[in-house]
Amino acid sequence: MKVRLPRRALAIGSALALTFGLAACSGGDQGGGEAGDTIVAETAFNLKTIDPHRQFEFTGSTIDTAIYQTALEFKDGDLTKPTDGLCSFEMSDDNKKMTLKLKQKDAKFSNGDPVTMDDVVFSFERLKGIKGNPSFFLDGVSIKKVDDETVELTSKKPNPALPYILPNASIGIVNSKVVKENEGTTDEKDGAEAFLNENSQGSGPYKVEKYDADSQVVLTANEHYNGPEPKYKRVVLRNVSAETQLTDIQSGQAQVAYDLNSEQAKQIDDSMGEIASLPSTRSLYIFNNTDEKLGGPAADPNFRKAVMSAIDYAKLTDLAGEGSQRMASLVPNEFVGAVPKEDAPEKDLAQTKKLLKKAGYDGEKIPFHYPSDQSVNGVDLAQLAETLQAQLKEAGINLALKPAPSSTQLDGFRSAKQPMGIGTWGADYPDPTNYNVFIPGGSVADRVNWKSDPKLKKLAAEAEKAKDGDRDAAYAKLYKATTDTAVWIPLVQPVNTVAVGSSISKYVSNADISFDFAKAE
Amino acid sequence: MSIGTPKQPPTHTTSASAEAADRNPVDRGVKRWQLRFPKALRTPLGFIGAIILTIWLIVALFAPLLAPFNPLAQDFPRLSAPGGENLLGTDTLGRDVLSRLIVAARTTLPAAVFVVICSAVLGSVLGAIAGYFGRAVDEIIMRIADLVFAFPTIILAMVIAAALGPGLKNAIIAILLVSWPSYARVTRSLVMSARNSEYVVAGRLLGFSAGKSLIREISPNVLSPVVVLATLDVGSAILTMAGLSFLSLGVVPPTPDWGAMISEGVSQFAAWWIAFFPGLCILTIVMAFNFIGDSLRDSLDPHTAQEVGETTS
Repeated sequence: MKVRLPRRALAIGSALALTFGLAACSGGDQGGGEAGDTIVAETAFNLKTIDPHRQFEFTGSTIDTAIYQTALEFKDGDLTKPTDGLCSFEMSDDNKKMTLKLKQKDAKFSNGDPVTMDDVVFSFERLKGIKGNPSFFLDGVSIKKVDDETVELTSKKPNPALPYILPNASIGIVNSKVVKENEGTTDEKDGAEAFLNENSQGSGPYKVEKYDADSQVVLTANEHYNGPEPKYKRVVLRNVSAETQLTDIQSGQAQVAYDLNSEQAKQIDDSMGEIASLPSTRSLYIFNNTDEKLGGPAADPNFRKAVMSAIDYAKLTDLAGEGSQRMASLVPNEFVGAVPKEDAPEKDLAQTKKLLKKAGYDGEKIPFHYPSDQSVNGVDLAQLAETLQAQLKEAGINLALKPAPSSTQLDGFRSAKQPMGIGTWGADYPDPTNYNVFIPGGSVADRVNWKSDPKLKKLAAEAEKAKDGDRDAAYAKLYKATTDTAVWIPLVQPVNTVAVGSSISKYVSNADISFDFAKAE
Repeated sequence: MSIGTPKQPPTHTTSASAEAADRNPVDRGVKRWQLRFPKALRTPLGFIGAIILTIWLIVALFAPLLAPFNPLAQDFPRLSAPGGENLLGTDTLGRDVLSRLIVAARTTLPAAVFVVICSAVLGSVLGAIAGYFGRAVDEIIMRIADLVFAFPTIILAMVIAAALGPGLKNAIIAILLVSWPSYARVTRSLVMSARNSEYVVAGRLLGFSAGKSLIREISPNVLSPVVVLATLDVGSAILTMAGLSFLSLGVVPPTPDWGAMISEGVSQFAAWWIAFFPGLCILTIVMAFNFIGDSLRDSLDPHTAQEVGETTS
């Protein structure tokens, strides 16, 4: 019998051949590792702009940290103590006025112009006035130049968080003279974004050489930088997927990879490089709707506490990878106001049973919402949801998983109609006031219809009044009490993994700057 | 028109045989179909396809007995390689991959067959109505079909599934809505050529209603190409369903699903077994349906088979 290959089989064969052919041909376009003074770093871009006063994404922030200096900074990654940057600072006793004095008088922009207090004032006013994503940082703050070396920032309400806000890469100091010449203003008419993308105006160790938001950004050393001269004169930041980052680190084509998950990180052995595991500033939590009609059983405090005691937290940190941490509140462990992780909730099934009985829970299925397409520092939220469902089922609590694309899920959460689900929060700045939104009356608390809690209101007022060293204990007390309500159940603080290739012998990597290009050797 | 094409038997036979066919065209269509069907599977590829499909049917039917572990239990070490207790390894949550593969067949196979049957019925009915009545009815139905054809199948299915929300039921609805037009187009063209045949005209003169004419006289000649198309389409339906699940728009977790398993494996290249084995399942079952469909077409639709033969030889 004559065997004739069907057309469909031929088509499949051709498609496979074409796929393998294309795969074999691709991969060469990124080029090999650039030699000598160039460092190649890779991340999956979420890049919209590198105009410091408009960028609010990881990639833009990574680049701007290398280009712009800030008025204040965190030394050695200690997020609990803001220190002097371009300026020194002093807070008034009532936390309403901050006085900045120019400290680094030898600082120069990449065109050789000296950094002045006029540049500081213009940068702050531009950030505020152009109404970009990070403009909220200086909401309610008025800026006044006192003299050539002094600037005053005044807030109507006490603003103890201001020193923690100013080190943000979005508040980088730009060369006001050049930016103004290129349509830069301090209102919404500002048109300097395109110029700043191509011609950075910072005083940091690097300046932009080439900007392509889709493929790569190239930085070259700023010869006028007043700090130690970077060993690597050129930085190439490429847009590649995590899988490719892994192979590029293994083959030596890249020296830094930002997006490896814990399983991928395990594949980097000593000969290829090493992994810097940094605490993430993201928090993963379960939210419970407190409205009886919308939340169902989740509105009952006993049920919520039953859920809290039914979770195997050790398994969650295992899922999140080595270096991830337990959380006793939504505030990351490295921040002022964090509740010590020793106080984190524990699994206690006997307690769960008791509480479920008290709540009168009859096993009904509760819709559990989560973004199915989102990973936070390598933790796949879909997998986290499946893990939680299995753990709670063991305790007799039935969740009906409701996956949705992240934008859809977020819309649902904002509408305050979801009974339960997984939430994530990334710190805008490392201060406990950034978590006030979770206290009744805050914008995120509104999403679970949590309108009032007299005890928390009192603790929040006390924390607001606390000064300096007392803030840590006051906020920790507030957030411990918040966790006790189980409206938010803190799950895990993931780990931020940075893979560093073996060709780099010395580097600085910490909670503030994932990888400092200027200090790499 | 070639002799022996079942869709227009009376138009090129002698007047005597045409009369016989006109007297009982249904019997004639069914007999030929029945006679030819078993032969179809006697071709080498058809035989291979039938064996693979039979194995999968057995797996789907007896899944609870065949699965070595509870497919939802997260009892094992995460990402264990194939071998030992877990023959095909474990996934990122420590679930047995083999058990999940076996149980996933119970969802995928019936859903794909169901969606294809529904599409075939819906598309054929609409196509028959369009072809038989023509004019405005034809224009309306076929323009709607053209509208659906204007979009790539998976993209339109994604949009519909995203709008309806994830879930098996919604995935089936999405695939059904995008796959009926091909049946409508095929059926319409067949019905259009058959409706002016002598035996159909004769039936109408005898006072047959439109419904009776369509069901009793025309449909037997339309059945074979639709069956061939449907068989080939099961593979496409499985691929589309896997695609939707890959994008988290299909089966809702933790229910095992091949597409969702591949999606999980994509971010774990080192744990190759997570994506490889479900991919293999999809490959084998799609191939089986394609082989069977090709063989059926060779047998039931010699006209197309001849064309394909000329193109490939």
